[in-house]
Amino acid sequence: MEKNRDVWILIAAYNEGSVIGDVVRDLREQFSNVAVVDDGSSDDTGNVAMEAGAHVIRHPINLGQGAAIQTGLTYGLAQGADYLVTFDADGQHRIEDVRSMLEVVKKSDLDVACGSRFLGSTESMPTSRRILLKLAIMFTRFTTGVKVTDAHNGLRVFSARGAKQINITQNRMAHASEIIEQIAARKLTMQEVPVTIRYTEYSLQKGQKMTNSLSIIMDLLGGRMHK
Amino acid sequence: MIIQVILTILALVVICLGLVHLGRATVLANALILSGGFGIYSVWNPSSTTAVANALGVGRGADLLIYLSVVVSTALLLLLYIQLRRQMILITNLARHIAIQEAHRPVTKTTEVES
Repeated sequence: MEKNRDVWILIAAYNEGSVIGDVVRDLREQFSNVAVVDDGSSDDTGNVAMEAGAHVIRHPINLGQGAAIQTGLTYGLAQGADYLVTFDADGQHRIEDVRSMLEVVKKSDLDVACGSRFLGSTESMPTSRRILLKLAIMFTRFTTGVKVTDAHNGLRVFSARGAKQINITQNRMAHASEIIEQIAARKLTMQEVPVTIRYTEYSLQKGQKMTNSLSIIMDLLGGRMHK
Repeated sequence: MIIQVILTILALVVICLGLVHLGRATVLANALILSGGFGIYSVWNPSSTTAVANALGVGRGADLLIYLSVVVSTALLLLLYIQLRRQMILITNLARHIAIQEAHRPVTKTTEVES
C-alpha cells in the first residue's frame, strides 16, 4: 500500500552507510517515497539505502550537503511531489515531527515550514553546540532580516510551490543560510515548527564544528560577489 | 648589473609566452607582451619609474611598482575566485543532471503493484 504518496522525503547522505538503512526503513513505514542523494560516498551508503527501499540518486563526485539537498528537491519535483521534506541522514530527526510540520504546511497553505529545536526541545545538546548555534542564528537574523529561532535545522517541509522557488547554489554548509535568504528575498510564506533533535555521539561527530563557521561566512560572501 | 640581466631574461620569457598565445587569447597575449616590454624598459631606466612615482607623491619607482602589483594581484585573485565559483556551479549542474538521469528506483513490491 502506498503511504503519503504526495510527499517525498529527501535525504542528503555522505558516508552514512552505518545508519542510513535504519533511517530509510523507519521512514518507509509511513512514507512510500524516500529518496537518498548519495553525495559521492566512498562507503556503501547508496547500496544500503537502495536495499532499504529508497530511490537513490548518486552524485558522481562529492559536491557537499547543499548540492545534495538541491538535487533531492529537483528530483522530488520531477517525480511530481506535492510536499518535499529535507531530512538528515544521521537519525537526529523524528518522524512525528515531519507529520506535524506537514500538517502545518497543509493547513496554513505555506511555502515552507522549518524545524526549530529552540522552539521545541533537544536531547543532550552540549553547551558548545548551543553557543555555536545561537551565534549562527544571530548571524542569519542580521544578514537576512528574518527572525528565525533556528537557522541550521536540517528538517524542512516545502510545498511544491515553495520548493520551485528555492535554488541552492551554496554547495557546502552555507546552504542553510542561503535557504533563509531566498525565503526572505522571494517572500515565501514560512513558519517555524518546534521539533526535537536527538543528539547522539554519531550525529555530534558528523555535525558542524566551530572551525567551519569561518568558511561558511567566506562562502556566503563569495556568493554575494556575483549573481 | 647581474639582476638587470636576470630580469631582462625573465621579461623576454614573458614576451615569448605572449607571442605563443597571440592569435589564441589576444587579451592575455597583449597583456603579457606589454608587461614584458614595460619590465625591460623600467629595468634599464629605473629613473623613469621614479619620475612617475615622484609625480604621484611616492618616493621611489620600486615602491610604486610594489603598490601597483598588490592592487593588480588582489584584483586578479578576486576574479579567479569568482571564476572558480562559476565553474563549480557548472560542474554541480552537470553532476546533478547525470545523477538524476541515472537515478535508481527501488524494485520493491509496492511500486510494482501500483503500476
